[in-house]
This record gives sequence, structure tokens and C-alpha cells, in this order.
Amino acid sequence: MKKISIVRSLFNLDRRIIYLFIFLSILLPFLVKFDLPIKAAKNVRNVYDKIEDVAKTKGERGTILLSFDFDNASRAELEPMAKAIIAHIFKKNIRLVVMGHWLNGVELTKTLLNEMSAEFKKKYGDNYVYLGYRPGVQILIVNMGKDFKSAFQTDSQGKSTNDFLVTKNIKTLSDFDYVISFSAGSGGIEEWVVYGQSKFHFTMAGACTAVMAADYFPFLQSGQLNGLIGGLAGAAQYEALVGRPGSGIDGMRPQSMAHIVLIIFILLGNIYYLTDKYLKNKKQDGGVH
Amino acid sequence: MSAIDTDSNSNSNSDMNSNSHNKTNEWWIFAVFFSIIIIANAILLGSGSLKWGWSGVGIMMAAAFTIGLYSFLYQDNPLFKMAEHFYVGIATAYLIIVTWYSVILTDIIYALRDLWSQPFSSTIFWQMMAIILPTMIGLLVYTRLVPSISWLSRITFAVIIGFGSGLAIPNAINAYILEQLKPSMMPLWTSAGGIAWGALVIFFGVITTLVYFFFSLEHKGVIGKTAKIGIWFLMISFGASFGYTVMARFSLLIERINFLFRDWIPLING
Repeated sequence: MKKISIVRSLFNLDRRIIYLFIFLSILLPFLVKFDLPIKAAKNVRNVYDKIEDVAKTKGERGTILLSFDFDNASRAELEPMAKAIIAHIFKKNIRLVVMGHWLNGVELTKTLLNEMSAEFKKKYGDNYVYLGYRPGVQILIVNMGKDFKSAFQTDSQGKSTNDFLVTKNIKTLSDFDYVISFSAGSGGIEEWVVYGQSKFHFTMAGACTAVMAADYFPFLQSGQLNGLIGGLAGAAQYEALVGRPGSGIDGMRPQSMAHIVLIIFILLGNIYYLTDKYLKNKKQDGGVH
Repeated sequence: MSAIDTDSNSNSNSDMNSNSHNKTNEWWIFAVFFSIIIIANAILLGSGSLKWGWSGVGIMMAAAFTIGLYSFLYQDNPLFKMAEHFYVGIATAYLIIVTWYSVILTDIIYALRDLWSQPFSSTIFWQMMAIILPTMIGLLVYTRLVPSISWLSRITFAVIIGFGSGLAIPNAINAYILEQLKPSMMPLWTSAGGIAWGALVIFFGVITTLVYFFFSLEHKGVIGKTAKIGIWFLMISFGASFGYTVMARFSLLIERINFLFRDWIPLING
């Protein structure tokens, strides 16, 4: 009985102690710098390879569409990968078209695009265009697939999309060499796959929060997505491929440490469970004899 | 006065006492929290770590709200509730403003104004109708505020459901079923004659999981054992999802800690 109570008191931790350990496991790796090897997974590398391929085959005529389907709540995970991919596109001088299905993400996207275009000295209209938000999601995607110009007659500033070098020759979604949706939920990858890719058969990839990544692997398996970047780990892998360390790679040290701490607590919980069960069984056996 | 009345009076008195005690506690929590935040910000501003201006004020407010929201991890408290209410209020206000400028002004008011300024023709008329009719149908939702004509809002819902179903059903069947069937029916042997392990795992995974969800037969014998393997596949899938969820939540915490100790209190360098 005494043994059981000792084991119980040892393992019956207040949840706030676990939170404290998690907090320290995240803060300390920020203060003590060390490098972790980051190897890109196949699904992340596929996105990188496709952009390289567009640059190689189409050169400066290549056009990529990025759909920013997230808002501030998922910025921590999706912004690092968006930055790394835009940097890759700009480095390769590929034309970029940006839009979004999330109304709350409009300002976030504008800020990010202004920052990145200033860094790479890209000219609005010649190198990139921001189409902004249009309501409809599903209907909008179908409309873009049939007649891009009727879906987006103007950009976010009300200027005609016929006037820009980037969008002048785009007639349907199939004219884009690659489509990537940065998605944090409904009105993102899933809608793009169902109403866009499966209907109009263009090459597309998904970049999503880690919570959603597991749900999208079937699309990868079926070829509906050619690549998938999931969560901060995916962002770190893409940053490593592009050679542009950012908050993705920076976040891998605390993320790894937090995972180790969590695994230790899971193991401790299981040891407690098994020990408790063993001691209870032993006590029952003792009672019978 | 009956015994029940006396009991209820003493209960209400004790409730009132407890409420006033809670309110005093809440004021104390607010006072201590804001004192700490003000002192910390004063030190940061004084030392030059934080610059005064819109950006600095933004960082100070974001830091206070972040701490307020995470204080829930200790226990539910008025700080958390305050931060939560601010979040909901600001998010709603932001959404209204963005909707006004990005949708209502651009797609309805400016679009109609531009069409109105053009010489009238049948094309212009139908273009105007293409804006006016959906707007009217959308506005019918607000008839719910007037009970006598609230039935009109059903027209809007009927249109939404009709359009939604018509659009979704064929596309969903294509994307979720037909396209997904292809990788589930891959050859189990490679062209070189070896076993395609990936295809084999998918094959067994699909069959056993489907058997688990087949409830017309009792899960006994071969069916029971196959269903049990299906449960294992499901458990592995749930485990993967949960692992990713944990990773996502940590990523959000990492970003907030990075903000607190880099942008607010400059502990993290580089």
C-alpha cells in the first residue's frame, strides 16, 4: 500500500509543472544556440524541384499562383514557408501572382508581399501582382478555371489585370505553371483540390499547418497534390533547401526540445501506469494467498 | 418564516458574499498585473530596448494580451477573460471593416457606380442585374430580424444550399472517391517482380479499415480479426494526426515566446 502511494505521489504531477517544463524547453534552446541537421522530406523537395523546373523550362515567362488562405492565427507556421517560397520564386525570376480566400488575411498578405518585393527589388505588375480577396471560394475557383479574367478583372487596387505583364496572358488556371495554397482550414487546399485541380488538372502543391497535414497526405498519394509542406518543420526544410534560414529553422531547436520533454512525460506516464498495475496485481495475489 | 425560507436566505447571503469576494480578488489581479506590465514597460522604454511610438505601443499591448491569454494555463481568471473578449471584439470589428472595403465597396457599390456611368444597353442591364440580384438575395437573410417577414430568409438559404449542393456533389465524388480510388488499386508487385510494399500496406489498410466499419456482420472469427487490424490502422492514423497537432500547438507557443523574449524583452539575440 505504501509503495503504491509513493509511486502515485511521484507520478501524480500537477499539470502546471508539465507546462513549466514545456515553457523552459522552448525558451532555453533560444538562448543556447546549437545546430540541428535538417533534411528535406520528399514531399517538401517536390515543391522545390517543381519551382526549379519552372525556372529551367519557362525561365522568366514562368508564372506561379500563390493562394494565401490563412490569417494571423496561423501566421507562426505558414508565414515562414510563404517567405521561403516567395524568396525562391523571386530568386529564379519567375512571375508571381498572389491571391487569398481568407478575408482576414488580406493585410497580412499585403505586408508580406511588400516586404519580400522590396528585399528582392521586384516591380509590381512586371514581376508580381496581388489580386486580393474575392468572395465565393468554390465558385471563384471554378470561375478561375474557366475564365481567369472574369474572376479577376482587376487586382486588389482596382487596376485591370490585362494591363500587367504578369497576368496579361493568363486565361485559365491551367496557364499557371504551378499553384500553391497556403492553407489553415476551410477555404484552402481542400477546395483547391476538389474544385480546381481535380477539375482542371493543373499542377499544385499544398502548404498547411501541422494540424491539417495528416489529412492531406492522401491527396499526395493520389497525385492530386505534387508536394506538401506541413507545419513549422516543413517550413524549416524548405528554408534549408533555399539556403535562407528564417524562423522555421530557428524554431526547430525549441520544437525538438519540447518534443523530447513531451516524450519523456509520456514515457513516465506509461511507467506509472504499468507500475501501478503491477503493484495492484501483486497486492491482489497476496490477498488470495 | 419557514425553515426553507431561512435556508434560501442564508444561501443567497453567502452567494452575495462570495460574489463580492470574487470581485475584490478580480480587482487585485488586474491591479497587480497592470502594475507589473507598466513597470516592465517603463524599464524597457527607459533602457531603450523598446522604442516609443505606434510600433512600441503595439508590442506592449501584444505582450500584455499574450500573457493574459496564456494565464489560463494556470487557472481561469479575469485577465484571460478580458484578453479573450478583446480578441473577439477586435477580430469582429476588423472583419467588418475588411468586408466593407474588400467586398461591399469594391464588388457592389463601385461596380454598380461604374456600370451606371456607362451608356445604357442590354449588356449593362444584365451586368447590373448580376450584382443586384445576388445582393438582394443576400440581404434577405436580415429579414430574420423582423419575425413577420422572417420566412423570406429561407429563399437565401434555399439558394445557398441549392448552389452549394449542385457544385459540391459532382466535384466531391470526383476528387474524394474516384481520384482516391486510383492509389488504392495500385499493383502489389513491381515491374521487376518484387513486392510493392507501399501498395501492400495501403491495400491491407483500406480493406481492414472498411471491414471494421462493416456493421452488418458480427465482428467474430475472421471478420473480427480483420476488423482488429483495421483498428490498428485507424489508431496509427489518429496517432499521426495527434502528433502533428502537438507539433502545431508548440509552433504557436514557439512564435509567442520568440515574440515575448525577442521583440518585447530582448533576451534572445540574433
